[in-house]
Amino acid sequence: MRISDLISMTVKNLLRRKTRTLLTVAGVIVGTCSIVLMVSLGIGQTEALEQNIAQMGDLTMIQIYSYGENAETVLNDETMQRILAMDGVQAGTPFYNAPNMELKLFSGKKDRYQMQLWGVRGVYADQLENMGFNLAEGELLPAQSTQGGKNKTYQMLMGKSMVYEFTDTKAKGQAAYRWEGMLDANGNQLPPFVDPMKDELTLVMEHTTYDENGTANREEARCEVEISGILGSKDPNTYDENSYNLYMDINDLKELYEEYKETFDIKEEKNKKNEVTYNNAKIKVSDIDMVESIDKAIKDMGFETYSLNSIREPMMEQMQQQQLFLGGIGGISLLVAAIGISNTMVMSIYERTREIGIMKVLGCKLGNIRSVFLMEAGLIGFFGGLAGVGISYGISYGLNYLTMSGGALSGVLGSMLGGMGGGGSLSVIPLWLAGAAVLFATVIGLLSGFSPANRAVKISALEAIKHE
Amino acid sequence: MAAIIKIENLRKVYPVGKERIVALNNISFDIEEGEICCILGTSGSGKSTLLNQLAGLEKPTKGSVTIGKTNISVLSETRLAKFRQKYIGFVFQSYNLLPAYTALENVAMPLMFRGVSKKKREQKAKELLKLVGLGKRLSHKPTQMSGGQQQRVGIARAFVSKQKIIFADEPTGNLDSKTTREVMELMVNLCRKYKETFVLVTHDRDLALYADRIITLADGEIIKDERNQSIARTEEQIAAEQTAMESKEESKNTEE
Repeated sequence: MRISDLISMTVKNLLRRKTRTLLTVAGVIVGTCSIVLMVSLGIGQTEALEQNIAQMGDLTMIQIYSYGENAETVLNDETMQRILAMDGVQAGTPFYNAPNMELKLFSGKKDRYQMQLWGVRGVYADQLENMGFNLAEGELLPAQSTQGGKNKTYQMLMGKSMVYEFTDTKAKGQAAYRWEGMLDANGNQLPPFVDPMKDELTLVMEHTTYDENGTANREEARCEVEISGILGSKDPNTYDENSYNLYMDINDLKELYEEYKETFDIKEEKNKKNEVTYNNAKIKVSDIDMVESIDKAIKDMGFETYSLNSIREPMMEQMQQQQLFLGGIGGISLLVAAIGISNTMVMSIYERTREIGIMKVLGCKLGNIRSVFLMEAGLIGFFGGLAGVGISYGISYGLNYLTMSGGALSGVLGSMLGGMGGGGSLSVIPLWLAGAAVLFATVIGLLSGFSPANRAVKISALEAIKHE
Repeated sequence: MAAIIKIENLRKVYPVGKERIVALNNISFDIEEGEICCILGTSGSGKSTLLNQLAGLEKPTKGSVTIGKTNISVLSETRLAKFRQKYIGFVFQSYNLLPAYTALENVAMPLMFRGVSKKKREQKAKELLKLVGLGKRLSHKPTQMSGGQQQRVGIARAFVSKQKIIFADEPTGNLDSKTTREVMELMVNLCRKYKETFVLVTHDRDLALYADRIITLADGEIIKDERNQSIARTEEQIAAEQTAMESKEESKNTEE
């Protein structure tokens, strides 16, 4: 028998008993819908969680810590190079903190605007671009400032929010401060006192000593400084951790510290090896899948690490379990639908016993008879799955519409499903889920039709013809 | 002429409760190619059982049925289906048309099972339906036709794929005497035309008169095997026989 004939025969058989076919298909639709929707809720939740974690920072970043001087492995330029040489490490830099250095930034007429510089960090300037530093304005740090010596102009990167740290020394009370989102009387946003990209700035080194009477003796020295760029996201709603940081090239900062010590005649106890070590560093991994292995390799070197990935993994595992559970609940109704298909097929074989017998006597091959029944069951599954997925898309759209911020159900369902918030969709049906659902329904149909089809094949032609 | 069906020591026993009923008791005979053979017997004589054995619908308890060179008593279900597809056509008492299909589709069905294309098989089916006088009822469903018309569709179906052997089990059992005559003449004519072997099973002595040979069965045994001398051949039949010779050559050519 030709395949086209098999198909047309199958379709004809299904159309002959429209009501029964439709009812059976309806069962599959309900089953498919419940499984698809349950899984889609799980996916929606996972996506919301992913979004939330991604908002917390870059998932491909690993922080490295080295505690204490007794640690076997110290974090220095040499170990840092070893880490950077690892496969999959895209970029990285240690953070160098010059201890006990008081720095200030002055600007405006008669040093009207001033700002304390705490925690300027030295970084590898050439790594910043690959680290994914976001610039709101200007450029990243040039490599170590070319001109050396006393009259050097230091380059600095400033976080977007740090700019608001400038205070007005002439003003009193609240008027001395500016902060992000501060409005004037007309409701307009107030800019910071200083535009570091345009206004002239001075870097001021301070040192205070106390004499025997406890009188403070304040000394200061000035040097040139330029802000090469403002760090932070251009989108005001996105959090960027660098908004609150200040960076200099690591060698510039070391140089500045030497100058500081020289200027104020500070003697420092050098460590035995006379080398600079870092407390922490940060690296960026090129592929999120490699984060785990690199994280482990660095731990094996003797360092402590922290990455968002390490909190993401257990959360994802939990999500997967939840999804499995939800899918299982949906699966029960598909199982009921499968029983429905089996029942329909058995009924239809009873009804068509005589017909099957005639077909056999007319020389229809057994394989063809089996195919006809299998295909009927398969088609019921296929169309049920197809319609089920279609309806699921509709329901999913409806759910998302209702739970959208301010929707009638947002409170109820939100809290019921863990309330991830974050503005993500409650239910997400990716293409693979739609495809898998149709396939699954078809396979269920075929499986349910398998035993009835074999039964049809076994019907004795003679008995069937006599069957009234 | 060569024997196309060979029956050797055929025995069929049905267990009914604790008793064993012998339906066929060591029957042996041959049917020759192109022969119109009637198996005559009262109900319970074993004639239907015999037909079922001949057509391979039932396995014998003992003995064998050989069609052509194939012993069909030992064939598996799958092989039997193939064999029937190739060699055997059926006409039933209760017509056994598929109610969901039109006359045309019913007649074309054996060809569909063989994998003949829709266009070709419907053309052949149309031809046959015209031959049985139903050229204008192609798209009627069985329920929209009279018993005689339904049986003619059944006959067209049996002859459509030019089978070597046609079996008919009380083909006129549900028809009135006038229609019976028409249907019988039609079948005999077609058999002669296509030179096919025809095995008719009936209890009706009048029907047996259409056959070349009459085998009478009683209690599972052959009690009489006679040549029918009294066949009144009409002018028509003789003419049909002659054209059959020619058209068989033709149809052979077209089939190959």
